[in-house]
Amino acid sequence: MASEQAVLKQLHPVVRPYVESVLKKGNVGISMGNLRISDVKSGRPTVTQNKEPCGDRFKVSIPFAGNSLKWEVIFDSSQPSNPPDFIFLGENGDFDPDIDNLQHLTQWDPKNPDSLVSVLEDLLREYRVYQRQLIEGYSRLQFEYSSLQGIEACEDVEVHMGNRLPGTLDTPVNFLISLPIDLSPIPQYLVRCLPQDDPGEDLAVLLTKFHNAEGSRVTPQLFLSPKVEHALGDNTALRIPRFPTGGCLMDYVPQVQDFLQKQIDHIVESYQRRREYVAAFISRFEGSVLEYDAESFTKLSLVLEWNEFFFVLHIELPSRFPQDMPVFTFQSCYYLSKANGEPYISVQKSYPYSPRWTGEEMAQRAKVFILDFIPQFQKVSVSSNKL
Amino acid sequence: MSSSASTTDEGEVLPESEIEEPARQEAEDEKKDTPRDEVPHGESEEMNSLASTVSSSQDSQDSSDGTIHALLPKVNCPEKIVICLDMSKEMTSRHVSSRDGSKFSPLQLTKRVIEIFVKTKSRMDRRHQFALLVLHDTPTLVTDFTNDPDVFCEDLRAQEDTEECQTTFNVAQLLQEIIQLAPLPEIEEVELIPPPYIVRVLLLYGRSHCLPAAPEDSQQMLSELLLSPHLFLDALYVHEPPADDNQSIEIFNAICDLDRKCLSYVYEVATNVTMFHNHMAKLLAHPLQRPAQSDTYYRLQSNEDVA
Repeated sequence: MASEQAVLKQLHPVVRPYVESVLKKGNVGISMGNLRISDVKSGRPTVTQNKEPCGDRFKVSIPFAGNSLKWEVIFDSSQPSNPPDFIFLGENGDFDPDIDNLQHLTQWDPKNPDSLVSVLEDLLREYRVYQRQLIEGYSRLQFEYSSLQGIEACEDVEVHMGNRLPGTLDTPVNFLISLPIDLSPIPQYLVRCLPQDDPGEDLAVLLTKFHNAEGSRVTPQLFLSPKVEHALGDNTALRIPRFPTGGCLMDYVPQVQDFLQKQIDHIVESYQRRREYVAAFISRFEGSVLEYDAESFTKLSLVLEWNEFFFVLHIELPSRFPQDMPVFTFQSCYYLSKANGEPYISVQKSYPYSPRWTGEEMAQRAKVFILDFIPQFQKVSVSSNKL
Repeated sequence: MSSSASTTDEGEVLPESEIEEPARQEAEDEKKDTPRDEVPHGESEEMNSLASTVSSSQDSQDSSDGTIHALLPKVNCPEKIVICLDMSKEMTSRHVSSRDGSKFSPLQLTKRVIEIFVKTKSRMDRRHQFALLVLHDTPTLVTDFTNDPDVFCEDLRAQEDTEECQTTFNVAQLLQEIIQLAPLPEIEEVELIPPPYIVRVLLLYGRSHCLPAAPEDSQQMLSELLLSPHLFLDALYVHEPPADDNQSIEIFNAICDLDRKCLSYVYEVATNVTMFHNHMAKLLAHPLQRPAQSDTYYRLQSNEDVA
């Protein structure tokens, strides 16, 4: 990204490798985005003559539980082997991690470019503990948090009290819950994103905001990583179940998890039914195949003959197959329609059909229908168009 | 050509020509004992040679005996279809009649079926592309690849001027020009990796007195091209009924001989307008997903027949 490049250019060469690593690998926590670096400044008392970049202090924005933490990182480029200092902006001085718990800081390795990432991970771990301690004063919230531990539907939880005035709850308390999601049963083509995008991981996170300590007003929001959103459909996140009044996360989170799983199951099943249908038709009409969609199995075309009369049959499977029936388009090989210059067609959207039939049975019944319909198609196609 | 007479009320039925010529499908029944690895020959004008050609290609399609040529994955990748429209004088120097008495030159008929073909193919997949080459003594590019059937058809309809042509048509040159127009994808594992596209040559040839051939020094190059895994050659040959004063049979043989991989669809027709349309419809089939020509079967049987 252009802004990342701009930031890197401003940094002193001694500091730059650590920041590069943060920008590339800094996906700490249940992040909904990478870490961002801004506000590069220099701590040197004088600027060197040759105008080399000398930025050695900057701010890092860390997504956490639906909010954004802003921490200032202070290196000293004249003392390259020293670890950085930190200022935790917006915490009112209350976040004071025990340095013994920050191994990568106490044993700072200046030669390892990932050192800063590791320190940030240590700090974030402590920050999570700190936030959890903050909610201990609120029994309902504490209950919500502890009840989520160990349930299957909840992979991980981050809780954040927000940037509120101490002792008040004037900003919502965020619970960010990462849900286990397994897209592997979904066919590849549905999961594939545009080549230039880095699809990243499969992430589904549920952000629930508690607007008061009693938990009587809770707003949930589901966030899906681009690959997941692409695979499940773009408006999936909008359709999550409502948070029941008086409900609690322990019950709600599994509901959301269930909802997601059902979406996946539905997609997989639809795909399998379409594939079964197309396979059955290809098998039954194998001498007549023109072409078929071998990736998503949404269409197939055949050329058939009845009493020396040839015709083309296009079959299109709707997105809600098998609940919705495939559309049969009969096309003439002899005539172009006078109306629009296109080959003469007759579209059939209604014929004997049941979603409960197997693909094999659907193919068999389709043949019966075609045999019934074709004499009439032949008559009309000939009489309404002339060579 | 033993085209069966159409019996439908609406069919365009024309009397068959007296002189029979084996269609590809019939000839294969006669010679099933030919060794399977016999390379098809094109030089001989005997019916036997044609039959053995067809029979060995039939066997090589039978997967239980092992295919001779690599079969690509059965994906509906986009096709780059080069339509080669013969514009020799022969395409306008005779006429055939449809049932209602209307007369059409082979050129008129060919243009018509090409239009239906392109529009149908485009309907099946908008990614398919079409280029138009007209064939006089040498090929001329009229339309570069487009996936817009209307653009293509407009250029197609404008083709009116046919020319007298020489006694041989250089097939090697045609294919070489096509490869320039449409370079083939370069893929290592052809049987595994679906190609981004394939190139299909659709040859609509209408000369009964001009043999498609290749000069001696181009035979090697021609052979290599015809064996490329991502190049396919189909043909629809429209000709005068075979007679002593024409070379319809030899020309048909020569066209069949271009099918080195045994994956082509080759059809011929003399006077039957309905058949002409039928063959073009069969040619809609995607080379990677269609059955071998010898395995095609279009008849819709009613339920009392085969289960």
